[in-house]
Amino acid sequence: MSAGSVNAGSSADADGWGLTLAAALIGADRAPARQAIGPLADIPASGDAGGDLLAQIGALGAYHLAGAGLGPDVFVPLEPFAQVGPECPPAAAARFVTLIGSCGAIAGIIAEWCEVAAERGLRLPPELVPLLEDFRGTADQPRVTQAIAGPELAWLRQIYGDAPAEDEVGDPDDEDDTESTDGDETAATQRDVSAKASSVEDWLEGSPQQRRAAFYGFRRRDPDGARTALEAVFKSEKADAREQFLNAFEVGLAPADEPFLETCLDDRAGGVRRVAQRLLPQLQTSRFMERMAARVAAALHIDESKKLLVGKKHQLVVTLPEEAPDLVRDGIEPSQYAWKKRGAKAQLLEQILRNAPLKAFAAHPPRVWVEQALQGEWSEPILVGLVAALWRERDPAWRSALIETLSEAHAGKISGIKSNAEIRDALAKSIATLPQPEWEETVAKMLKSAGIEQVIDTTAYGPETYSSSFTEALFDWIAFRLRGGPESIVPLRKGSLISRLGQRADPSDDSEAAAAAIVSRLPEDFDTYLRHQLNNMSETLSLRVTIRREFATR
Amino acid sequence: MGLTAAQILDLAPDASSRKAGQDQAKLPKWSGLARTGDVIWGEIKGSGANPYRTVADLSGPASKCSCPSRKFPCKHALGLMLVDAASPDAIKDGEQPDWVAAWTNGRATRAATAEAKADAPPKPVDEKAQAKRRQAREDKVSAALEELDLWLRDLMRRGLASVRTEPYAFWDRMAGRLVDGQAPGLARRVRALPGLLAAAPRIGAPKPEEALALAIGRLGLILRASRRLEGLNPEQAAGIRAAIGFPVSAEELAARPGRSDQWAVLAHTIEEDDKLTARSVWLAGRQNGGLAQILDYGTPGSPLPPAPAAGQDFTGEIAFYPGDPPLRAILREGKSAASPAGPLPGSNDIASGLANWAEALARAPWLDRWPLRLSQVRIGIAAGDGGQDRRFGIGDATGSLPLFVEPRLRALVSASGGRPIDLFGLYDGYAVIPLALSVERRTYVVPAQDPRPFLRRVA
Repeated sequence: MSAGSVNAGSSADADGWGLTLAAALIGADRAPARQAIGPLADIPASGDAGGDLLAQIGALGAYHLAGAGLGPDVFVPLEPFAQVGPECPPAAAARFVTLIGSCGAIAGIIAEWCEVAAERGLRLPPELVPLLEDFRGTADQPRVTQAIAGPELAWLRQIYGDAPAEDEVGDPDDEDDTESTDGDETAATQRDVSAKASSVEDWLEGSPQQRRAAFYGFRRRDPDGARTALEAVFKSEKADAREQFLNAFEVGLAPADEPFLETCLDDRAGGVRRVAQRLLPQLQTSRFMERMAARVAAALHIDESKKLLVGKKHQLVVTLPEEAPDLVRDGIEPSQYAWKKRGAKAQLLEQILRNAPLKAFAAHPPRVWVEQALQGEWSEPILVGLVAALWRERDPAWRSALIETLSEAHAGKISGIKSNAEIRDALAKSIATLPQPEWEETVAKMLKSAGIEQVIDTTAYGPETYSSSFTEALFDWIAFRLRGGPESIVPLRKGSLISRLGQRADPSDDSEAAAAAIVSRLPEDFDTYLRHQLNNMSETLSLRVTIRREFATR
Repeated sequence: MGLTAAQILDLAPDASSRKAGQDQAKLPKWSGLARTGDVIWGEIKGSGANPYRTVADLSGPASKCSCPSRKFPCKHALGLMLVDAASPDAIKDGEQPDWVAAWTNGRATRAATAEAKADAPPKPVDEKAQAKRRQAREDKVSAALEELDLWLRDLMRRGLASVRTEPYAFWDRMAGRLVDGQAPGLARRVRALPGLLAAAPRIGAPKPEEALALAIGRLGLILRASRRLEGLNPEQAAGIRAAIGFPVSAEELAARPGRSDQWAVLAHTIEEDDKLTARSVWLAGRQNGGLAQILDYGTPGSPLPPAPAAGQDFTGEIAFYPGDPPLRAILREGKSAASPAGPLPGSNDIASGLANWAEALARAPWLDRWPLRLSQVRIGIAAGDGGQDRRFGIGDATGSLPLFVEPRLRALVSASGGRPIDLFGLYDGYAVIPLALSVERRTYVVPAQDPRPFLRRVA
């Protein structure tokens, strides 16, 4: 048998395989008479058409496959990719493979693995890079992914002709920040990918993903230019594309975007309107915020009168808003799927307060508003709305007022107010707006003096990771509580303190030992559910510590 | 012998065991950990009243556990070996407790018994009865082959285009007749035919009708060769009998000459078919350059036997099954150890690889695939292709071949970094299915049972 340069997969029929295959498909009864050529010359005809065709297809098939293969001239090798930094240790790489196949809470651990690798300037081994392509992780994941495997992923996407990721199409000037060395082919590839994707015209052509990625790059490089360019073609785009492009305004959002976003409130697509309704509250000077301020003024009013001897007396007057088209335009409308069941007007009031600027309450000090809200009939929607506004604006005066007043209310120091779950929740959310050191200091004080339920409520929010000193204090507090009676242990079952502690605690050897000690000291007949939670907490923390140890190995 | 975590996980019988084994690989869960040489043992708390006692011999590797799991190795044995791989210093030397000593002594006794049995003179054979049985089987197979021949000739007269609409039972009925006729090798090939027709078109694979025609052509070739066994040399005849499904007896296999070498374990491949798991361990001799396929079968009640892991070297003797060209073999005496880093043994350029493929087809034209070892090839794209249909391939100065498209190809491209690689894979005349590669003194294998897009580094 000769091995000519025939491609088995090609349509070329130099060896007669195509004709033989066609005969096999239509059948010997209908196919033209067999011709003994090439390798078939040695096969004697049997007189049975089916048998002859069977012999023919067998012999010629093997002959055809034996001659398969392509010449070197039709092959273009890939450009080599130069590695741009040291790889993570094998143990850490093996851990990554184990983690990335899991789901659920492990996603946070994978994101942490990536973060640790990025902090140490280590790269994901190239054979594992494709595993990272579909991992979304946290909001910060694109930056971390770029740090540990950015050039490798860009190289792969370029080879496969995929759309570049949004984080790959940034400002070309920023590319000097990558770890690639000057003049090497990696940097050239990177520049090639970015330059190709970020040219101004590029976002008008290509697949939806490519256009979206290109527009993000355009917006990052020139927010005003991107907006002007989008305005010109906005109405001719499909609804999904309009929504995608408008989402890119999160990058470099500025007052100059306000007129365009305002027009988007009247867009025919609900998705576009919702994006505009989400972005406009971030612009303090927008007409949207002015309308919200006016609605606050119409809904809430404090009557002020002098007391008999000294001081002033306040009385909050609430005028619940009515459903109206202009409210719907701004995204203020009741939902029957609201998490907490309230009347339609109470929902409208809460949503107005959520989106209103805190300066709309300038007529009175923040503390007066909070006190009056607590004492009024509509305390719950007003508190929820005010706390949501505080989360958005992080205003120090409002934060102090909310924390102080709600703390007093919780402690029963305000006459006529009894602490309840809503007050504790609003207080916890207000405390969570403190910077981490202050939050930890506040909660550390609570650990010494406050009730167990307040600690559990407060730790439901707050920083994603704790400092070592706070972790130590928290473990001491848990260990102390576990030594107490049922009244001390049962509340620990509620809330997310224990279940989240494994992911939030400082990942040090001391923390791991403290968590393991807590678990090992549990009595045999201990609460099964809480034991399970504590075990999970200890194992999660141990895994996080192990990840760091594995990065330290070589 | 030190096994890496990846090699230990390759021993797991299934994906859930791999995951569960990793969960057990936590040092605090274990008590009484100790070792004597390659034998490690420990106790772990399970759902039972008493802790499970687990012992493993890393040189086997082999293990035993007192848990009720039917999987082998169980998650505890995997966990124990993983603990040792992660922190070998954590397991100190110690004196074997009774239950460990009992297991190791039992293994030694069984090995000695097997050796003595092998050395013992064979029992007298009733040659007359044996010849009668053999003739009865030959007659049954011969009748089955006649029936298959008639069926195939009918198919060719009808035309293969007309069988697209045939139900599965059409093919299964013929396969069943072949099973009854004691020709399981042919039955397996017939049972695979409807799958070829139903397969979705893929880059790097023949079109369904073409694949069916080739498979039927191979069946015809086996039938044709089976009629003239007397005119072939014994190895060729044995190859055809193996393709039909005649078993090779243990005595016959024991009489085969051994071939000693330092065999590099290039890769493992696993094919699962309903209740049967077929594992191929691909070996390449470092001195003689030969290739061998150790094929083992496992069922839920009968797990796969231990085998050296990919990335290890098996230094010892193997014996090839009768056949031409020789490929399938069994392991005999030998020891496994970590492979030295370096190029794939016996690799060559693409033209030589294609010549080997053509030669193998000339000797056994019913072959589906043949292993290729290629040296210093580059991954690239066939010119003229673009967009979603772009076709990845490998090439050097002597030629180029397409690569089979599957999710892990992306990891292969990434690991190569566009640099020259040594590649081991299976070739079917259309595309190469990559199984292992070596690049700049690093060796990677395609995981046998994990479809995710990554490669496992083994050296």
